Amino acid sequence: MVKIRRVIIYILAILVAIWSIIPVYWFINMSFMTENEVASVPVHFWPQFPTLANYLRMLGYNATATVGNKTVYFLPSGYASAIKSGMVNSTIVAFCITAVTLAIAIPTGYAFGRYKFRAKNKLLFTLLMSRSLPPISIVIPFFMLFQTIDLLGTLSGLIIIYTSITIPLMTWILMGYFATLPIEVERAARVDGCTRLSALRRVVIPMASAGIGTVAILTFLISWNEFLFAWLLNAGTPAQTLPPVFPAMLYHIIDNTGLAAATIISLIPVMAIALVFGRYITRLKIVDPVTTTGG
Amino acid sequence: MVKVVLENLTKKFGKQLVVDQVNLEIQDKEFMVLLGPSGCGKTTTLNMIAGLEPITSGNIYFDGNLMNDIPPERRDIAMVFQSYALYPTMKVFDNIAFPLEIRKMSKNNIADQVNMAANMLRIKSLLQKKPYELSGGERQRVALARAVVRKPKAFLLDEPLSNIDAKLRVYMRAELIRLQKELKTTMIYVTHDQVEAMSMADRIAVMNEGKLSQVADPLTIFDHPANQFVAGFIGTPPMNFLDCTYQKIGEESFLQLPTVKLKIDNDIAKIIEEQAKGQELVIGARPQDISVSQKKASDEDFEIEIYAVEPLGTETVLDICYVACGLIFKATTVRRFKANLGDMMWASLDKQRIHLFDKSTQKAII
Amino acid sequence: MRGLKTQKKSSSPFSLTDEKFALILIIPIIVFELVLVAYPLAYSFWLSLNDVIFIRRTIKFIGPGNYITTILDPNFLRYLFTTLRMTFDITVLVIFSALGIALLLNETFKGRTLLRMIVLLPWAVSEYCTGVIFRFLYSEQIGFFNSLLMVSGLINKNLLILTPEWAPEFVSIAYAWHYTPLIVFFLLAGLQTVPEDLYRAARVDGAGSIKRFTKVTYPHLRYAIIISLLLASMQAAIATDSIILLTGGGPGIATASLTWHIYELSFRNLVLGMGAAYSYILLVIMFILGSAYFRILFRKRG
Repeated sequence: MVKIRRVIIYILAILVAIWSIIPVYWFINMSFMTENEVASVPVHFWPQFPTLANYLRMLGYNATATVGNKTVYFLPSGYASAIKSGMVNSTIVAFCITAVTLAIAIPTGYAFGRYKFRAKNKLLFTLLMSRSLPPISIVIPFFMLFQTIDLLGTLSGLIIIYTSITIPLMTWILMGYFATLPIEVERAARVDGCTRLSALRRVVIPMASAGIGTVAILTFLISWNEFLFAWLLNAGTPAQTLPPVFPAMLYHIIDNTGLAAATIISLIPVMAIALVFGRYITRLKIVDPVTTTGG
Repeated sequence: MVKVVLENLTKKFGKQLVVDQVNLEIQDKEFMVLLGPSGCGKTTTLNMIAGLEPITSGNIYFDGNLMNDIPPERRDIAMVFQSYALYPTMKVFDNIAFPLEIRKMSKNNIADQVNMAANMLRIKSLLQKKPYELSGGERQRVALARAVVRKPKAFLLDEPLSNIDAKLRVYMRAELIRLQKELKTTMIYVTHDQVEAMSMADRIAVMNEGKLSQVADPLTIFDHPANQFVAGFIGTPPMNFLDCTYQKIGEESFLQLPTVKLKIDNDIAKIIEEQAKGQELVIGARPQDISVSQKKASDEDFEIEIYAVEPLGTETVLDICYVACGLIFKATTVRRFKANLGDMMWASLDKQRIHLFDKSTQKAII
Repeated sequence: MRGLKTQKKSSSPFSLTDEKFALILIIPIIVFELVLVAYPLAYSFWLSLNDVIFIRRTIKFIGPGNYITTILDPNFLRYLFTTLRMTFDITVLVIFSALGIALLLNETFKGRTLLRMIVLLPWAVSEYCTGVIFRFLYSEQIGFFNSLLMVSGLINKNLLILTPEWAPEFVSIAYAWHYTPLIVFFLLAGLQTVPEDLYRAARVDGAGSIKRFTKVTYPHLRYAIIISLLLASMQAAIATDSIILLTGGGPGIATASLTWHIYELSFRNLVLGMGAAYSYILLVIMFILGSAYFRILFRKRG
């Protein structure tokens, strides 16, 4: 009886793994093929003549691919510069937003996680509402506002609007995290001579470094993956980040393998981070910071 | 080196009264223990003395200075927490140095003081380690070193021995006493363990449900408990209680137990008549003051059944059931007392040593 | 026992209480909320009361005109229904698969840590990339599913997956693929708080797997499941990125959710006033859901 259970578990595990990987795998598959091979019948589930050509040309280089005994030459994709500058811009935005978010989320999260004060519940509710605001609802007024103050199509504008997503969310998470830290250590710091502020700075924040680090990484991820604001506010401008490249590629040309390669390129940093820091991210209390157990 | 005075100290959490009008004077260089069961308000009182918990009403004075609004960092006290509360990201050396660093002492000075404290607590070898590498006892000594290094006005300790295993605890008790005498500093110590309190305190303040029950030195508390709560809390095995009635028949006075009468002297009878609010009294008899024997020795002995036998090695504790009323007492006897479950024997109370309490007020009469 | 003769007043004139300190700490976020949330929302409301012609940069006040047009729009209910339908699909998919995967990850078996990493992957893939990827997975000519079905001989002609009838379901599957891991790890954390002793006792009492789940696991997890349900439906209701990239609202308006329509109004047709009005209606819906989430979250804390 136990044996059967084991077998079922392993089968399920494999199915779950396959389901999680297949979509990405399919694109990896496509990205290493030439356009002809993609359309071939019967379909190839792995590249017969794997080539790096797609990656090279999406990054702006000439590339060649050997298909059988033929050699195919590729010119750099027209989207290559957008991809490269997009990646740079995305990175800049991600770093800035992480810094700004942490600067506000840390003291706020600490205050909510540790102290009681009047209007706390109202503020908490506001925070939750801010977190669940539909981005589309915010884009419209910001679009008009940025028009007026000339922030449309700038990285700064994008950073400003991103904070509306990241600050409520990270404050929410850090609130749960700070509440789990041992309060006696803070008290020890006060008795040892620290004011509340210096206790926060010298003792609590170092103690919270794991959680804060993870929140920083999470902010980076979310910012890198953000699409709507990037597309509606900055598409077509020099301040364009990476995501808007994709609808452009989808709607303007048919370059499936190039698209696949571009997608994988944009996924690599994110997946690398998830692989390395996934363990910490899954331990953060994203859904429910209030109860002392549960993510 | 400070005299701490608590004046009508009260603390409410919402509607819940946790500390109720506590008045206490702690003398300079005294080892004062706040003793009481969980939830009696002793830790909250300690936190208020430290300044970590805001006061609802009342005053706290250090050497005559009102401390109510002064934050903990400026009270010049040191505290040792139940969980030791070491700074997890710092090495032991930095943990101990922390309070000195805050006060911007010079690096050389700090190193000297830390080494002195480390020597005193015998943790020199641990200085470069991090807290997670240490055992419970080691962490506790680091917490003590951190408290000691500053030479504060007073030490506050919140059940520091609770998380240590029994054997080490006995050893640490002696160490703490020695430490306090060496440092000649006021020490306020909170615990629920009455053995700790008895062995370490200059004076014990027994607390129950937010109120002070009695403040006195250990032997006084043991020999003359002020009320039933203190009597039952101090001493192990705990004191036995038995209801009785005071009777006066002619010139003679008796205490009426379920099956026997205990004759009492006239001067004691007089005290009872003056102090008691009625005839209903409670006898308190420590297990050491109850003797059990197979033969009935006097008319004041009462019949009991052996309910359980606990041979402890140094002595034997008998659980005896007073047949007439079903109450079970604990009595201590000599090392090898022969008894089997169900045996019927006779118990007698040492009249010189029993306590009497007023049943209605629970206050001690004798 | 009264206070001593020399009663010096405490030397600090200003006592910083815990509460005052906390209030100082939260000043930045209050500023943030006012400037970056309250103000834009207020502005958006004002916009919704206007006829905004973006190209000509004119704004004309028309009061509730936009709202009336919205409610009278024959397609309004359609968009609402599409949103509800996809929200329902996504929520059901997410909760059931997340619960299943969480239960699976709660078992001990070799390769469990590896599976945990793999399960996290779809969440690391952004919502818009999910849209792009599934667009190709569903593709008639070069899609994965078509290829699979062809190769296994189940069909001999390419199948159109994103039909007007079923496209919403397939979009939901894509979104669920991306969103499930978040709930998996939340439920998993909850599962791990169930005391092992309870399972042992149940096993000793002769309870089988299913009984153990209903009697031991589920009661402990009920609260977490409810929260997950709420959060998943809230997120599903405003899912936009994947729709934009997967189907572009189509075929036709088959997958045109409320948020898609808001995008279309505001940035395709450039009728920002209407877009604002629609987004306010959506805001009200989200506010109601959010209040429920909040109440349940903080009720348990007591």
